[in-house]
Amino acid sequence: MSVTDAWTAGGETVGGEMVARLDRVSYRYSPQGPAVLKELSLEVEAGELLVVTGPSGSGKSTFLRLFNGLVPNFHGGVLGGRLEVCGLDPVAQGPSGMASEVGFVTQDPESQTVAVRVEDEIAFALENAALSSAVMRKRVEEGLDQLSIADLRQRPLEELSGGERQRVALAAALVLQPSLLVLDEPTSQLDPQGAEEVLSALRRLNEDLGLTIVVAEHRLERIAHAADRLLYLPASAEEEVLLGEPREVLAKAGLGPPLTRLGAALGWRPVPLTVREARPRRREILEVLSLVFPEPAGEPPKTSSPQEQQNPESLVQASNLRFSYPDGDSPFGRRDVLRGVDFTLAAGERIALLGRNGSGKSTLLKLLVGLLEPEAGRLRVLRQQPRRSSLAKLARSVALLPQNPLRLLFRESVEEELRWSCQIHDVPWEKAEALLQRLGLEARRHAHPRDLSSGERQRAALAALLVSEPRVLLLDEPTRGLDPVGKDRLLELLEEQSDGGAAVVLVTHDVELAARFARRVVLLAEGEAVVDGPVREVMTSSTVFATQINKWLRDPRYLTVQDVLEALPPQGDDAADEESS
Amino acid sequence: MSSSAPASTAPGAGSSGSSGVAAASSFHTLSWVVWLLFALSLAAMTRNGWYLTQLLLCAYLARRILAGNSSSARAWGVFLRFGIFLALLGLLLALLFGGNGRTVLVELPRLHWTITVAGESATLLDLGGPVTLESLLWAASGAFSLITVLVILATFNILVDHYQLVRRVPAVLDRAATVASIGLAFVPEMVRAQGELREGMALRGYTGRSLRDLGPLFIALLQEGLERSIALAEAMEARGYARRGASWSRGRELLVRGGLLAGLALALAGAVGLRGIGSWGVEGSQRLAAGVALGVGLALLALTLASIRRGVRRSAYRRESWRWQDTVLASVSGAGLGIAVFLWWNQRVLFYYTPFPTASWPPWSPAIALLMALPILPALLGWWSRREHRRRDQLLQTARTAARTVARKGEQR
Repeated sequence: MSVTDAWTAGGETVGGEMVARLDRVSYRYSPQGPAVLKELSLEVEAGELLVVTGPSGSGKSTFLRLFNGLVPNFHGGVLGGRLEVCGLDPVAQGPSGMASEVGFVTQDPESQTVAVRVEDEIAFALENAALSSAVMRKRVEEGLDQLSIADLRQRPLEELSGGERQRVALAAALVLQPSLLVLDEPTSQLDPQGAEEVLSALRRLNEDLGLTIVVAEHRLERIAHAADRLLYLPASAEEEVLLGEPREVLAKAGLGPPLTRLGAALGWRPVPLTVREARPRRREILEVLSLVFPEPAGEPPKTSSPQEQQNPESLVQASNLRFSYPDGDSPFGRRDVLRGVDFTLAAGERIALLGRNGSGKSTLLKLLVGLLEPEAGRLRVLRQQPRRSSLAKLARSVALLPQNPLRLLFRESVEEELRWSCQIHDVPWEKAEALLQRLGLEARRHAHPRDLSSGERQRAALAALLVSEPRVLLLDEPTRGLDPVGKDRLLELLEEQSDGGAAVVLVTHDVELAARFARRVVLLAEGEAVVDGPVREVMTSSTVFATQINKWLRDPRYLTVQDVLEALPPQGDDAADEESS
Repeated sequence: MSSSAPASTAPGAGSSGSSGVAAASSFHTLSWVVWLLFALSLAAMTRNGWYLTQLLLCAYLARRILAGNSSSARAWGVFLRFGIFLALLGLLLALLFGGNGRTVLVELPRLHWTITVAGESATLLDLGGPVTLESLLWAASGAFSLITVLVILATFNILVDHYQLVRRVPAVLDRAATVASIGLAFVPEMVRAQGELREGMALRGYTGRSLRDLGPLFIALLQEGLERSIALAEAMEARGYARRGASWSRGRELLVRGGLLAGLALALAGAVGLRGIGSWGVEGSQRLAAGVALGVGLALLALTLASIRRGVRRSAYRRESWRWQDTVLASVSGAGLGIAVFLWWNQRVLFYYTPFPTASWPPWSPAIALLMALPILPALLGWWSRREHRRRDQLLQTARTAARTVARKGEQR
């Protein structure tokens, strides 16, 4: 595994105290298995923020678990090379021996909590280190203050949001005052607000306290600009590892926020990471664009799908839908989740359903597939009341992909999953076979669903649903935990479904994704549909829901990188290249 | 633990809203343990349907008032369903094996299989025959008792603070505590996962309920549980759990493991040797050898545990606060347990119910009914605490509003 390190002083950190040193480290989970890491060498300097990125299955989690000895002590496998963290050998010390030097936070905020209440959770590591009561109290107070969670100290962890829980996990990892904090995709299971809370806490810890941080992250737009270096691990250990200044690594790997990708496509050096960094380029791009599209504001360059242009068949009509859940705080109380939602859906439509956590998005989807019954209001899906028609029959025409695709997968292999779907819906196997190939799963057909990467799991679940050729496809946060390649593949697939006449509803917090895919946006707030309109109208008249490109150009015609690239004249790349040089 | 440790379960200590109410209705771990012992003992002492119904009601109200509709509270229903499943299984077996009693309901074909060893014949299998009302009632009362025990355990599981419970396991048994903490968290997690997997099956278009479907669901649940357990164990280890002192070497670890294994094996062999296996008893020198093995095994175990204890260091952060409600709950439950054991020892007939030889209604004694109603105490105290908290909050609110009004009027003047 060679490290391309042209942008820093030989890939080694410059001067300063070293916190960790990896010398030609290789790892495989079994002696006969493929190499997950191959001859990886790098050093982490004290006070550095190193961001690790790469596609699913590239070995990011394995790499991070080297620092505290979880690999190989906890997970087994064969480790080669030399490793030194904070002057210690993590393999000899083991995870519990490294606990006071390396703080560790995993991606799932639920499965890493031990105690019931916040304060106990934070004190857990201190108790294990047998510190005195006075020291523990001081450290717990510091942890609560550092992460701004003092108001949560008595709360049961069960009641906290994902972002709050992850900040508690951060505080719990920091109370032993480690020299190095290692985080494995800490925001992958969080909504944008929760992710922002965690990432700003990380930036603060790095900048204010000088804490050394190694973090694996997909949401590069929020952290790449604060990183000192970026490590890109490729899908295969045989490919080239990239390590260096974030802008350069992102440009080379074709990753990053929309402005970075646009900059890379137009050959800008250095590529911008934020709207502020791209500001100087705005005028020149607008000038070029105004030559192509002189109108100040016009119809979007995208065309509607054929189904939308004709008079599309109405598939869902919902009016004044109401629903409530039992209230956890009161023995007999209920909490309103939907308070009179109106919603329609026609064949071929592409809708993005946006809204904060708890605004009722997932509940609305569950009503549409008949998992829940509305308490009031009128709901017709394919001219039927979902709850009163057979769930099996409805599932044939209305498919819902939940946040965790494993909820849909029960069989021993991908092929068995599809065979089961064919059996349930009485569909010939040839259709499933074609789907396996179309979704790029034929090589993984015998794999157990739990052994697949997150993108593959999602495609396997989608394949199981698409066997029956549903007319309505509902997806609940489908990009959570997906890498950029996985996102692109998913979007291609959804566009294909929509072009084939299926109505697609995408529940998401990702405005960039919504802008790339949707034609219509419905915004839920406090259980009501407060906005329902064309994507360009909704997303350009908002400061919260505007895309990065739109925030930069402030022109409703341009929401995505694709919009800009398509609008630029063919020689645009060259012109931009010349400008930048 | 030093007195400076925070007593953070004090009512409303730094908490607000729902957590304040939750804190108001929680009890000390030890008072919960005493309550559990009391309620479980009562459930184990009787097969009387009236008393078991009372105990079930007490557990239900405790769960309803103290846990509300929280997600963990939903695990309660799963325990109940599991109990009902076991009860139905018991009834089925009672039907198959028949039984005594005078009121014959139906006569099933008989299957009798004997085996002769050394001239003596023994029954291997005896199925079918007359099914009597009495045998069914006996099986049903046993099943009801089992359901009650499971529901009481479920109530304890969802209401007790698991972390505090695990903290009370001595440091020397830290590995056991890891297993216990994973086990305690397992049931509520599995309940949630089971609901989601059922939904997943419905989304796939499958709504069957046959036994064949339970296979994939069961395996998926086990995988989910295993993954969560590994993640939890990984998180615990990464935060220094079960950390040994600097003097703890690899050699010592091996010695400790060997000591535990040898001690357990010797103690077990000694115990079995002393008691004898089946009809093969032991006499004289063999008995002496068994006694020595038991003694040496126990001594080895004690030495090994003491060695682990010296290698494990751990301190405690939080001191659970003991409130007057805990005193009431623990003392009433403790006294109730004492009375119940005394009565059971001397007047067992008061708890007893048998439908043999002729089916009859279970007896009812006001004194025993009163004893069986005592496990309602957590529900009553919890309800009272919640009411007091709400009243206090309202009073505070009123006082704040009045203060604001007075201040505003003062400014106007």
